[in-house]
Amino acid sequence: MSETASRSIFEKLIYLGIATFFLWPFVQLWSIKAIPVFDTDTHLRASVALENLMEEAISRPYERITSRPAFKPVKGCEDIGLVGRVEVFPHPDMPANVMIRATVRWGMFPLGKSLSLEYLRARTRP
Amino acid sequence: MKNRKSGITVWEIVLFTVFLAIAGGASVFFFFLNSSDVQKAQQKYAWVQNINTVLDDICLEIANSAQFEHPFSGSSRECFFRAAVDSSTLLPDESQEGFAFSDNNLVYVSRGADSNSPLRRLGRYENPLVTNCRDGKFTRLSSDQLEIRFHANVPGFMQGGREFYRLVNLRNR
Repeated sequence: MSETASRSIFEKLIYLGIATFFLWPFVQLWSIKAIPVFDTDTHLRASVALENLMEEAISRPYERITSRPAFKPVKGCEDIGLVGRVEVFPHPDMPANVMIRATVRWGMFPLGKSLSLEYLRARTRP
Repeated sequence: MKNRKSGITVWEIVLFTVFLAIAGGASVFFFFLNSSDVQKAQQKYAWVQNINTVLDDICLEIANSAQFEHPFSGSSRECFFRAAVDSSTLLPDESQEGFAFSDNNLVYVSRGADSNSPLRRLGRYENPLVTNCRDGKFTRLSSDQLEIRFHANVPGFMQGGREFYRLVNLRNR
């Protein structure tokens, strides 16, 4: 066959077969909702720990924190290496309000994940 | 002219081996996905996620309550509060709603002046909200903070359980 001729039906079928061969596992994973990189039990535990961290932070009165706090290990989640921190800072646009940002982080550096939650509250309680 | 159909070449053998290895690995992986271990893990994950969804709504209900009444300090197996209603008016003092750990279940209850009816619905959830849980308690950590903690056993023939722990900031004390 010369180089300029178009692909035959047989070759096109082979390409289709190769593409299906590579994509079919992802189709199956999508159908059973089990792609492990998106949603795992670790992810669920981290989100619950994040909610607890935020609830604890907003139940405290406003305190002025000058430096950025370091990550501390979250109690009860030491087995997955979960660390969290809470930042409290004045809102850049609305000086009467403060922003509270809770962040949890887990995993090693290249594959690490982090979740964060932000809350806007008045500096004085209503 | 050179005869090009002289037989199988080296790169064809390499390609065939690579495809064979991928196919073998994929089939082993799919057998693993079909195994009962994965099915049990998925069931357990769905169970944990379901309880966490219920707990999210419970925490929202408690956090937005107009006035939190029962565990004034210390810990208790039940909690009661005056619920927030949509019209932003306060319901009478004697009608309170709450949650209770009773008979290894977490249930939504409401008590009034004349009755104590355990059969109420919390949103889209039927009573009991969580089944097969033990050591459940509501602890008032401070004036504006409540802790919910219980241990739930996995239903069915699976082993093990999970400790659930939530902090609630009482917005209105």
